[in-house]
Amino acid sequence: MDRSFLSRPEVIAASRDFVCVRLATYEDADEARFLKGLFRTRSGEVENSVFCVLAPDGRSKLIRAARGPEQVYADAAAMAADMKRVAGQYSPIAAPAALPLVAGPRLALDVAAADGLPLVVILGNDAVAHQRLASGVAKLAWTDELIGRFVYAEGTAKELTGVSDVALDSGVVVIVPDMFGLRGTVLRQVAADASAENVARELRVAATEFKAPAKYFRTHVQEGQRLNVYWETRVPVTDPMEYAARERGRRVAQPPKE
Amino acid sequence: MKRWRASAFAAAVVGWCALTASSQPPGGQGGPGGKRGGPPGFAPGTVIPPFVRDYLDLTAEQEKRLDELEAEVKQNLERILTDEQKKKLADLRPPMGKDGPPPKGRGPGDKNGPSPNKDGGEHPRAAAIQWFTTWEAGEAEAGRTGRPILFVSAAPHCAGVSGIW
Repeated sequence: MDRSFLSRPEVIAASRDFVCVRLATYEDADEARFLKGLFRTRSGEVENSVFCVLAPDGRSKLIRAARGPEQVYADAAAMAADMKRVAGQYSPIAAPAALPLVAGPRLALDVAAADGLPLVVILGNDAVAHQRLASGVAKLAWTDELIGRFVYAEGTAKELTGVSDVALDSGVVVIVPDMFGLRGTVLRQVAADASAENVARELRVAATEFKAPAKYFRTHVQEGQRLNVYWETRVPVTDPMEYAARERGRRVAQPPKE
Repeated sequence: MKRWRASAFAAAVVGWCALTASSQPPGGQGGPGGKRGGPPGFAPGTVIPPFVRDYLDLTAEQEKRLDELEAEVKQNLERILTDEQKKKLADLRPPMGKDGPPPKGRGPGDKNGPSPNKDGGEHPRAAAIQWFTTWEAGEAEAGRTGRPILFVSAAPHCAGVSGIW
């Protein structure tokens, strides 16, 4: 995943005129089929990463698809300039408003860890309370103050077994993921009957309190292998390089018996 | 003479970096380089591409000295190339932002935070891109809002280890 362009302030600023979609590769079969159709890779199979800019219809490509933005643009400034050019061709009729949920708390914890962001989970089975909470959090998610500061998911307290100190069955929980996105600790939690103002205040405090830990690619992977961390994907990994790396990693974590 | 040699060496590094930059997909190795219109990601005068700069966790002083070296390389390239060659190069490259090279050092939205060489600790996060994470939701929102789609797919794990893109 590109570690420079998408983190640059000028690209982040330009992204505000887009609907930004980032799929987790290998987690959904339908999405894998979509990726295969969007970008033809050298192996002919879905590979780890894809980048493109699409029209609002979700079908027309506005630039050529590639593995990442650095294969299309010379630098982040060029990417931001081209994004502005593209955005200038459209007259949006509304601002993004839907709550951008990750498909399930398990994947959401991993994504939050990878992003170095806290995870907001809307808990509970009561449909009415859930809708009210989700609607309130969605409004906050797109404010200037909180945009891009959280990863979001919904689920039940049972699905958060790796997270310590979850004291609610329904409400909003803000979780700090561990380094590998497998466990977490509660930063803030608000019951379902809290007022919208209370929920807003807790999210604002959480955004301020959360500190992203420093993370280094090489040591992270080495430490993860040492600790036997192994992420099972929902769809088989087909990127040849990643497949080989996963197998090597598995052998490092569990060396064959002599 | 020493300066000229330094510039020639830097130009050679530029060529090497251009080749490696075009063959490196995000977060990994291998993968196809751009085949249409020449190598993508090639900015004449770039000694170390931005994504490699990030990877090296350079100090502010190193960033500054690299910027000075790149400015010197660019000046020398201007003297070395003919007008026609400069035009060919400009046609080859994707559009450069009008503000020139990207900002120095890590942006406030960088998901890895400031370099540990600076203080090694944790830092408050600045805002990042707000992503829809399923195609169904993103496509629906784009259709509803009339906004174009910035689309990325990536694996939130590497070599089987989760918690990193």
